[in-house]
Amino acid sequence: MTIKQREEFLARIANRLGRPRRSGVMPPDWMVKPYVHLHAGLNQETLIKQFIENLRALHTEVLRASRGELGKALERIVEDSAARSVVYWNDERLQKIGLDDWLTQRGIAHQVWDVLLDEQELRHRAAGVDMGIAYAELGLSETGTVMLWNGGGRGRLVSLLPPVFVAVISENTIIPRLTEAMAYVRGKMSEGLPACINFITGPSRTGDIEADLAFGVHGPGKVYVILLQEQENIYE
Amino acid sequence: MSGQPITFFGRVEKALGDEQLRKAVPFTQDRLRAGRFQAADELGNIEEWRDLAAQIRAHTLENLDSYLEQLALNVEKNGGYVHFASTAADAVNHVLRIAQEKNARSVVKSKSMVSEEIHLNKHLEAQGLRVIESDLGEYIIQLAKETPSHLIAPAIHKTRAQVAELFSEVAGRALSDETEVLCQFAREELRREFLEADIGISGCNFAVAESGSIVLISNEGNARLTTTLPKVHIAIMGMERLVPTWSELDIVVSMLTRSATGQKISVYMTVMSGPRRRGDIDGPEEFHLIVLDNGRSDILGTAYQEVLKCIRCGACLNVCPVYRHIGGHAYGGVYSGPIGAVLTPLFEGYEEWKELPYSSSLCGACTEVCPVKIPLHDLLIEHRKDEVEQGHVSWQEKFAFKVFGYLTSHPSLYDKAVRTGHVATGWLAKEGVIEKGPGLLAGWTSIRDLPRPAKQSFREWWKQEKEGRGRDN
Ligand code: SF4
Repeated sequence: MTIKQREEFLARIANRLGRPRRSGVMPPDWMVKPYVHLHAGLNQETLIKQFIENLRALHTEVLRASRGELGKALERIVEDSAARSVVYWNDERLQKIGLDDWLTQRGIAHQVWDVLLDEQELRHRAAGVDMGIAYAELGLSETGTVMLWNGGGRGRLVSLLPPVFVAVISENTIIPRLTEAMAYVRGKMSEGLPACINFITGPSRTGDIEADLAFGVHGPGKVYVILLQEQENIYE
Repeated sequence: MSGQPITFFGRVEKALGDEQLRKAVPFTQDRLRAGRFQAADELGNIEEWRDLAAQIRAHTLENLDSYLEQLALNVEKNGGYVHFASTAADAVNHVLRIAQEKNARSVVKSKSMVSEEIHLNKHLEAQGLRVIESDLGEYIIQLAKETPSHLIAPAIHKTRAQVAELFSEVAGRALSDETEVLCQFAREELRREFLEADIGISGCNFAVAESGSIVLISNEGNARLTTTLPKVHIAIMGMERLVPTWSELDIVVSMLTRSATGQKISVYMTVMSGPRRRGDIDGPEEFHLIVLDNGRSDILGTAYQEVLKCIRCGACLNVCPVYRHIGGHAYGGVYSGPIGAVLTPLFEGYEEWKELPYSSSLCGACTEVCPVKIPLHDLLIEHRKDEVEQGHVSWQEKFAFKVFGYLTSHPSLYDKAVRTGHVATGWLAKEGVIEKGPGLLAGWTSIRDLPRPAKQSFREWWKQEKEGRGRDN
């Protein structure tokens, strides 16, 4: 594509709009903010409750656990899902809560998303294991969505290929809705965005066969969220 | 259009004879529409949302050249390639060239109406490429060699027995018709395709100009697989499908999923900003964005400009009494329902598509529900005027089409009309107006027995009809 072709394409648009070509337009400050009333006055605990309820409605179990109770939460998930092998993010937040040690002690085969490994090999592993575990950046109360900031050791296939996906998230990062998530992303834009940001809300689903709801047709059919309670709740 | 009759009335007749379609369309409509209305109620201020979404889309169109330029610069900054395609052929050629450069043998696709619009699969297959549709509904209709019948639910016209038959053929063994069995089979079969495909092709629900990102909305996750596993990702977008910043993205996405299915958000919203970064070991190594005009710029600056605000949510289909009766295939084009009736004649001309603006009772339900406030039924009236002015439609035709629109939006009447006869002997046939029409219209005389429509007495309606005839003649 030459610059000239592009310019012709854009000039045609300007021409059809009956004005000279424009550059560098910025959107106006939209005065209407229709989302404000949805969460006005809700405290953090209410947002968390709403987050949990929304996920439950989508067949997704949320386990609230203090950092000390993490093992218990994992045990419950492993039992419920019968997972025997795991691939997980190479992320210091997961290290800090001792995921690696727990998996080793529990005798569950596990593979961290190590970017120094062979790509094909790792992909093959991710396609073969029962469960993927990642650490979510933000949680959206209104929808029960988790936001994943992929990149490097935070591989996007971890939340995609295995039939079971577990998102770990700090309850301090539960925000009202998409609006705050967008503001967060915009705040990071100057550092450069990762190639892929995922917003995930419950298990993969389809209604394409006679509108009969079915889970896991492509992505994980089972999703769990571990909500980490913080000793110091910064919001209260 | 494989296996579809060429004329509009032929397609309608076929649709009306299709038992599954006559069951499935109203069922799907009711389900999706109920979801939409519940989601709107939950918001409590849907009109404010629609106003804002409409303003955002209008502003973007008014400044389209500027935002597209910004988008292109940012995609390149992210390490991607941008191709501007004026025509469908240009877009196809870009894809073919990339496929050739990469020595690609197989392509996996996630649902993209734009790729239907440019008939991409046909062209790829002609070059010997293997093309796999990965959205479950699209996969089903690809195996059946058909086209989508609904924007959101492309395979609603297929029964589970038909799906089981199609899948069994691929499997080489008999599969039961249980949903779980069929989905599991599709998962395994398509997963294999994903892992082997050289190129992934997706549409683009929205592009974000300020960061050079493209956004894909899906429930199944096939869009994620399409854009993560193959080494090359090509996204094709209609040139109007962008927003200035992430702030506007918030509003249009909130409206899209609620209007489409009633979901507050889809299971997956994936935002991709260029190919994999240094240090990533998954995601595509190469990213191409194809920006398609294909007749869109011709609509800018005309009375129809607002149609480009469309975010393809399908809500207008789900409230349309005519769509309910005839289903998506009867519209003949890639886009069906009220949006198709407005868009297809604009893209492809009146010559072949003159009936479409009449496939509406002008009840206005589509306009009321559209999340970006496109005045759909006004645009249909605009088309009708233009058709007459440009000499594409005579008053007889106009009248016949109107009767058709009326009858198709009143199914019980329609059925009665068909039953009571006058088949092919109607006045319209004598006038030689339409070849297929009378059989379906079942004699225009039966409209005299019409009960009162909800909003208008029959007398008023009839009077309008007559005046309309006088005026246009
Ligand atoms: S015209 Fe409006 S209601 Fe119809 S698909 Fe487009 S955005 Fe949705």
